[in-house]
Amino acid sequence: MILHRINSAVLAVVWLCGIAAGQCVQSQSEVITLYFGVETPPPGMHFQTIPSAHTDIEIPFRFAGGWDVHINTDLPVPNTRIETQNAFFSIGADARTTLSEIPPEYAFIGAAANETFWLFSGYNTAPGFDSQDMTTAEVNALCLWNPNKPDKFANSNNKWLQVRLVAVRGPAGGQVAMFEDGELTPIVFFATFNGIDNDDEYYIVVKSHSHKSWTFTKPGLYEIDLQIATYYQCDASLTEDRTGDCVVDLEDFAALAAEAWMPNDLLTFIDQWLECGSPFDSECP
Amino acid sequence: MMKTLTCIAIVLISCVVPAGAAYYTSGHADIGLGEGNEVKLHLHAHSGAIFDGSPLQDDTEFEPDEVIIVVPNTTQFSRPSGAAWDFLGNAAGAATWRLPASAAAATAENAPFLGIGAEDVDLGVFVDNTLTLTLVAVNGPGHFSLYKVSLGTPTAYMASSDGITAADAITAAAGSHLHFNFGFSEAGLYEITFLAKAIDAATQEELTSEATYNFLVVPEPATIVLLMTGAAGLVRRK
Repeated sequence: MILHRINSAVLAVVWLCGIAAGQCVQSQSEVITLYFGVETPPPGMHFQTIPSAHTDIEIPFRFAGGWDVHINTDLPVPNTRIETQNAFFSIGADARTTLSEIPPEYAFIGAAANETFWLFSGYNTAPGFDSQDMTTAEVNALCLWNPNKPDKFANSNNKWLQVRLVAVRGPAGGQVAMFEDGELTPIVFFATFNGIDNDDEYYIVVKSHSHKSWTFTKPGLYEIDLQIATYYQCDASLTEDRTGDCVVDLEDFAALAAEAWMPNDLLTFIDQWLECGSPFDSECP
Repeated sequence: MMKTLTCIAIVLISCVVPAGAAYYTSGHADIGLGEGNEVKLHLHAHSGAIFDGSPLQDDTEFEPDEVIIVVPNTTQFSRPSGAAWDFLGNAAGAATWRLPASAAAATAENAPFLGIGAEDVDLGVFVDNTLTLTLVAVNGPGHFSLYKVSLGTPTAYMASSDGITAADAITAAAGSHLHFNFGFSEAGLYEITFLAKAIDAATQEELTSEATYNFLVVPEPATIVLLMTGAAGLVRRK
């Protein structure tokens, strides 16, 4: 009995030092593919062309269901949801742009002087990134962290979501960039002209919303792979969350059953399981 | 020291701003053009926006005169050269302030991310689902402008530097919201009056709402020191 209590105490210390005690762990979405067609039709019948209306790439973090990345557009009615694998962003001839001289700060576009490229402007209908659709509990679970990326305007302690460019499949020689204009210099988030690396990333603070401009240097279909990540912490009071997923569920019961457990442990487990102690528990209302 | 001086600047300028108004210093809010089937100027602040030093727990609507929109000194930049920037109303290289159209810039500069919104307006209520926002008056120490920058080239939608006319206007679609740069050529308090308009699709009646918003452009610390020195001199002479 005494030995078991000592074991339990040791386990409790481990939890306190670990996830259940509030240690921040990373959550990363699956790779999400966005489809952009530059003067090109959708690649399949199942695609829905995004209307020329305010549209966002919503990237809420849902603990129970992981990431709920999807498209939200305001036509035909506000808050029309389209899954990313069915969404097709159509960029027409009206986006053609030519500069007689490419300023050095815009070399990242990958276009030469007098060469046509396509500007999908964040001021018009290029999609924004939106992290507003999260509950207070979901936001509370996110950790404060500092990406330390002043060049990406992400250099403070905040609840950030990272959007990372993973890969681009497009027409031969086609380059993609995502950026924001500034008075003096643009802020470049993604640019493939120099390859794709750890510098191709964008950070958005939770509960915010921002539109970017995109450029494409060749007509054709672009499949753009993104991955979203953040850091979160579990509720330290969920002592029966033995699997460290922030939810007290049957997996924790299995873990409990595999141990030398005490009736009190079981009662605590049942209490936390039935009480729906985690706001992220998908089985709870 | 910088923060202390900035605080002093706010306190000094506060002597001339409307009493009782809340200071909006960061986070996302929109100049709301209407709601439902109404044209009504207001400020729609999103949860998390900082008012009087505290984050809002929920989305909150304010009357325009209930808020002072703070343009911090972190947003200051030197006016670029070139005639394309003349609309700012000052000389190339002059200190200029702007609330950024960029959320990333607003976050980095700890400044309000202010937009213009018609998100709460119902579809089908107004002709072409369109509302217009027109600049009516600017009362302040310098010039006000509303502009965008694309590929390094600015486009001004409103500018008081060349006089205020009906052309100082933007349109917004019902259900949408927009972000622009809000430019100021001098530090100080600005009272900026806008007129929102839309035509009722059922009656063809023009519906309007006019309101004045307060923007407090915080000067750079060196200016504050000069102001304080001057004030101290006045006190000594007395």
